[in-house]
This record gives sequence, structure tokens and C-alpha cells, in this order.
Amino acid sequence: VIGERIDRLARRFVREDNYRMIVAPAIADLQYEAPRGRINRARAYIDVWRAAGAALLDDTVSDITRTFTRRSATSAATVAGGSLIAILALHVLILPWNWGFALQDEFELFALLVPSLVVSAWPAVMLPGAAVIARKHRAGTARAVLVGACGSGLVLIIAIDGGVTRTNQRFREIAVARQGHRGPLQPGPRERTTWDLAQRDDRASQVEVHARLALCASTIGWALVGLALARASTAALVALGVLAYGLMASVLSASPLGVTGPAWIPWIPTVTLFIAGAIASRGEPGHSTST
Amino acid sequence: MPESQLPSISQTEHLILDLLGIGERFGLELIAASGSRLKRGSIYVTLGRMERKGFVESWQEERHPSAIGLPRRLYRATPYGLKVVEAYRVLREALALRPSEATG
Repeated sequence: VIGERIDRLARRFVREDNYRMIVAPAIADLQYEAPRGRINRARAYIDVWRAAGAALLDDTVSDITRTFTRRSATSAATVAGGSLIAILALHVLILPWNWGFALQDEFELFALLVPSLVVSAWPAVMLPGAAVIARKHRAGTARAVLVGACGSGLVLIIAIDGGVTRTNQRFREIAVARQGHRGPLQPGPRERTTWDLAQRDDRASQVEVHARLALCASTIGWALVGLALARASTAALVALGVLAYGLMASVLSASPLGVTGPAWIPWIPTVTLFIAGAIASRGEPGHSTST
Repeated sequence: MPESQLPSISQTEHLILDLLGIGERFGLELIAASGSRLKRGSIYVTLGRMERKGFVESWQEERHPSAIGLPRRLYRATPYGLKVVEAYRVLREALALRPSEATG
């Protein structure tokens, strides 16, 4: 029967009331018009896809509005912020070993390091944030959380290109100047914008582009893991956010980035995380699209 | 909807209610009757919204049990929808009056 495939897809992804009111009548029109020539059929096909898209958009907007209330957004931001502060505090403790200076001696350098640390930790703190949001199991919560994570990933890449590359460059300039180096300092891969890196042919730039995009995409993976941990306590979630960051940082620092293998290697942890998150959160009530 | 809030009605919704004032119709019939003012890609979104607002009601056409495919949907204006259209017509007429005419 014509339109059967899109009918199956729509029943799977569109909420029941929007399927009944928006998609099903468009499919019925397609089936009614199909015998009336190719042009009518083609137009009706386009209309069905447009109707399905509109229904899906309406579902998503309604899911987001219901899920991200002021109260739930504040709770999620508080728990995610708790993880972020704990991560920054840990970095303060390991500054002398990791970066060769103490906070009280080089506060300016640490301040320049903070944006880069926040950006690195941002995907991991999606885990506690998503878990808190998913505590109220409602139909469509998972979809809203994943859309939020996608948006968060986009904000991350904008933040990297908009400011973090500049603070990274300033950090390097000050650090190198204190070691006696004089004269202009050429920016490295971490100090260039993604667009700038994409124009360059060297391997380090290519790897950095992949690493940056994989980092931003990992927001979705961590959010998926968070959906499966909705029952954990707030303190446990804050700790899990820190652990998630530690795990991500260890995997990335241990992987042979830029040394051997293809430039897309940074995607491996992100894809693994995505698969693990999808399996873990499967069957959670928030995944349902029915009302 | 709170009682103090007036029901909102767009031009497209107004047009659909005008067309349904004559009787029940299918979506494609509404498009044909509108002279292309209603678009095929968005009509069911508008009709769905109107149904939620209580302006229209719909049901599936009756078909032979052996018919293949999905049944089409028929739409009819509700008394409430027609009342809203009428109320807005009266409001428009009242607002079209000049102040001198309104005070008599």
C-alpha cells in the first residue's frame, strides 16, 4: 500500500494525537490521490513528509516545554554546576604537577586556563544534568534531553571558536614569556578556530578538528548515559559527573591522537559512549512518545 | 483556557471556519474551495490546532471494510468555532466605526 513505510515511521516517532490529527490525514490524501497521476502523487508525497516533519517538530517543542520547566532546569544546572566546580577544584589541586604552577602564584594563568577546562568538562556534566531532568519520567523526556544535549554541543563549539582559542593563545604567550621566550608566538592547533583548522592540511590540525567535533558530539552520549541514571542520588550524580570527566580525559590523553592511525580516531570514545548510552537508556520510560 | 482570556483566531483559521460553515468537508476539499489560499503541506497542522482549540471536530470517513489504506478525515465547524467567528465579525464591525458614529 502506498505510504505504508512513512506510516510505520510516523507511528513510531510521532505522538499519537499528532499522528492522528496531522500525519494520518495526509497519508490518507496520498492514498486517495495516488491513482490520479504521477504529479498529484508526487505532490501528495511531499505533503506527507512536510506533515510528518511538522508533527515531529510540534512534538519536540511540546516535549521541550514540558520537560525544561524553570524548576527542572534549575535543579539540573545546580547538579551539573556542582560537578563542574568539583572538577575545577580538582584541577586546582593538581596544578603544580599538571601545569607546573600553584594557584596562589599564578592566578592569572589559572584564570586563562578555566575556559578550556570548562569546555573539556562540559560534555561530562551533561550526565548529572540529564539524570536530574529524567527523574520525572514523562513521555518525551528523552527526546527533549537529547535535543537539549545537541543544542549544548552547538553552544560548545561556538564557545571554543568564540573565546577559548583566544584564552588558550594568551595562556601560551604568558607561559612561554615566563620561560624567557621573546617575540611573536605562532598559534598551535588548540589556539586556532575550527574554520581556520579546517583550511589547513597538516595532520595536527585535522586531528584537532575531529577531536573538537567529537568532544561536542559526546554531549549526546553523556546525556544518554544520564537518562539511565535517573534513580541515582544527587551526591552520586555530582560524583559521577567528575568520574565521567576523569574517564574522558584519561581515554583522550591515553589514545594515540595525532601520532598513529587515521585523523578520525578521536571519534572512537564518542561513538563508544553513544552506543553504551543508547543501550543503557533503552527502555527507560522517558523514551516513550505516547501520551 | 482561562475564562478571562479571549480565544485567538488566525486568518487561516477564520477562512477554514468560513468554509466549514457551509458543511462538513475533507482536507483536500477545503484546499480546493479556498482557491489555493490554504496550503496542502500545512492544512492538517492548522486543523489539528483548531481541533485542540475546540473550533472544529473531525472523524474518519465511513468506508467499506475491504477498502485498502487509511480512511480520510472529515471536518466540521463546532458551534463554539462558529460563535468565535461571529464574535470577531461583530468586533471588527464595531472597531470599523468612527468614534463619532459610535457615540451616535
